[in-house]
Amino acid sequence: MAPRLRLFVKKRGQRRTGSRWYGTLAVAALDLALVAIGAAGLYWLLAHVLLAEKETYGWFAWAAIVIPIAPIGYGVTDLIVLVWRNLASTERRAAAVQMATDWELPGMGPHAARTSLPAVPPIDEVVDSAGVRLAYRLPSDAASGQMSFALTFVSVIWNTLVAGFVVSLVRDYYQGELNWRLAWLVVPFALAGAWSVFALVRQILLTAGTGTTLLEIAEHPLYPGQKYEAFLSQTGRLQVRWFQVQLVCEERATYPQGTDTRTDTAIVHRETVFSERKFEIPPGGAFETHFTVAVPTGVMHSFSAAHNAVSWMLVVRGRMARWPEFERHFPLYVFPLPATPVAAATAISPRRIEQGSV
Amino acid sequence: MTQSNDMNGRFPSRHANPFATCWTRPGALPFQFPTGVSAEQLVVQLAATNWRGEIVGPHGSGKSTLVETLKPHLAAAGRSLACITLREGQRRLPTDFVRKSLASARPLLIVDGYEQLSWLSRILLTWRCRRGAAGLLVTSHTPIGHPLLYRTRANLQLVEQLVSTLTASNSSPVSAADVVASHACHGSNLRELLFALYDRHEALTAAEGATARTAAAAPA
Amino acid sequence: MIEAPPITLKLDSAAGEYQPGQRLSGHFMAEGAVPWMVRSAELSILWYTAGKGDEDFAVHHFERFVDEPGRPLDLRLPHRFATALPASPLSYDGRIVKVCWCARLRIYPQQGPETLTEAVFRLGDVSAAPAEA
Repeated sequence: MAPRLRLFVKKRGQRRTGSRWYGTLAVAALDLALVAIGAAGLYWLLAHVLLAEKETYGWFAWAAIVIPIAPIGYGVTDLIVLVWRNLASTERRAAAVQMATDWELPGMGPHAARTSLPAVPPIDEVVDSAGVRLAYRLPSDAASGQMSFALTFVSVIWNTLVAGFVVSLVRDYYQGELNWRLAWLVVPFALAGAWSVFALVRQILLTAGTGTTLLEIAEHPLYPGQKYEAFLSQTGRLQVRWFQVQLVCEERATYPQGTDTRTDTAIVHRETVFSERKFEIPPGGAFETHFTVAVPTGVMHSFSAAHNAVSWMLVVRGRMARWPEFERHFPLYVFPLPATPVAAATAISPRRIEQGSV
Repeated sequence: MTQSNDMNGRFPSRHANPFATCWTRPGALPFQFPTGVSAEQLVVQLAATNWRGEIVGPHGSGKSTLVETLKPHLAAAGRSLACITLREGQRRLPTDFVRKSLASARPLLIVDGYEQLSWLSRILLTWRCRRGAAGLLVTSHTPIGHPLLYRTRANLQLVEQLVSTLTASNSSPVSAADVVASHACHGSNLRELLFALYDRHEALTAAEGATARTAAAAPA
Repeated sequence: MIEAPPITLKLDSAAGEYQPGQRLSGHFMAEGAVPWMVRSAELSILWYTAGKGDEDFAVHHFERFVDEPGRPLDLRLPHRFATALPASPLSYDGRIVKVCWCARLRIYPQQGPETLTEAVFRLGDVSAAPAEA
């Protein structure tokens, strides 16, 4: 039996069920209808309102043209995209997108790191941060800071709202008009607010108690087979049981499956580049040291795509007396080695689109 | 798709590991029916219950894969399919999904992850489908009151069948004992089981590669 | 319906190993003496990911060969292609993420379904990820 016309059949973005062409025709009909409605509205607006005899409107009335133009623009754009999607293969569409992203707008320079090194993440966040002892200060993985910020935000907003209700209830109580139902309703919200304050204080103590870790590096980006000088500073009034810095490479893969989104990680390189045991950090002082980071030869460079990534980082781990073990991540960027002179000499100009046979 | 050069194993490619997600995701791998059961039979069974049914099974047991396998058969039976997969925490259906789905002729709504919906959303959906003479096929981890269409479970025989299908065109050093061990560990959670076999394949392939390099480097 | 003939998609380097910036070239053709009517053929040089995550991909080089009235597309003749390979991403045999490079040929015949043929190659010298770190 032939599949029936469907107005809307779509599952998870790109996949469709049933007849693709009937669905496409339905969407095309919808787009044409939008264009027709917009055109009719534009005609009516111009003929009967804006350009009508004996009627005068200020310049701002012409802004109403946006209303009928919007469905025309949407319908035409969607039609073009529809035709393109149905006539062009996946590779052709990807090639066109890539060509468009290479275009430079007037006044905007090329993004050098991105166009010459596709799929390598930009290193702006490192090279924009100057160090004190060495050239670059590595930004910390912001997870714990984000947690503190999020807790602060939630705690302040939540407790402000709860405080407003509490003040209102107290006022009503002293006026003899207390709403007991509302009062009991506020209790769980107040308890939640108290918990958020407790969690925030705990997070701050945990972050502050283990002090601040600063990492600096002499050069960036890093390349396989090279060695780099690094500097570490750890503050806090601490008795350190053990403390180490590791060079780590992690693969990350994301996959939506069923109702879940699954993210898997795998550590493919872990090497301790610095280690120290049983020392003290005096109050008001800092533990400082220089060490060397050697990137092994033949390793994969930093790679970033929508669902997959290869990331490098320095991981500072330690155990302080009376505090739980802590771990802080400092992202690094490893670039592929520059093309060899022989390879560069045999290069030809890249990418021709829409050419015939060579 | 055909590969015109046989660089398998030498160069990274999707053919390097038969348990990669490109081969195992729902739709890529056909549902393996036990003997005596087929997609056509399930469609007939669903029609007999007025196109209402539920596919029940634990995490990763193949419910989504079964839905993908049934879709072309349901379309061939003349139903207009409207499908949605609910993500974790998604308690309501998207606005207009039901209304647009019911607008077509002989609609059959397929909701993957039905138990994510709130009880109110479920009641509303069932009522609207009944009122619109639409079919409703859902997947869930536990029975939820619709006629049971199929209960997915991954017994060892099914797992071995799956592995055999996957390794038919892309070979693997994973042994039958590895499959048995994975099944013992993950039970009917095929998703976790196949991921475990993925890791096992990678480990064995890496070990084989290391052995080969050591042998090549050893003095004669 | 005419059955699609075997397709040859070959890279000039038998070893299939390339360095960033190096020239990759090759040819494709349909085997056999019987003419095969095609509307167009598309040749892409692209990378994609495989492993445990959803597939990502990007096209580095794209060429389209079209059958035109004045210039018929006869795939029995070898059609050549060439491009300079980029500096990244390099081929990578990771544990859960693999980066794979290939030449992909998609042919749209006048009759019948489209055909897809791939020839994999390696870009760069990245070692495979170890089993456990």
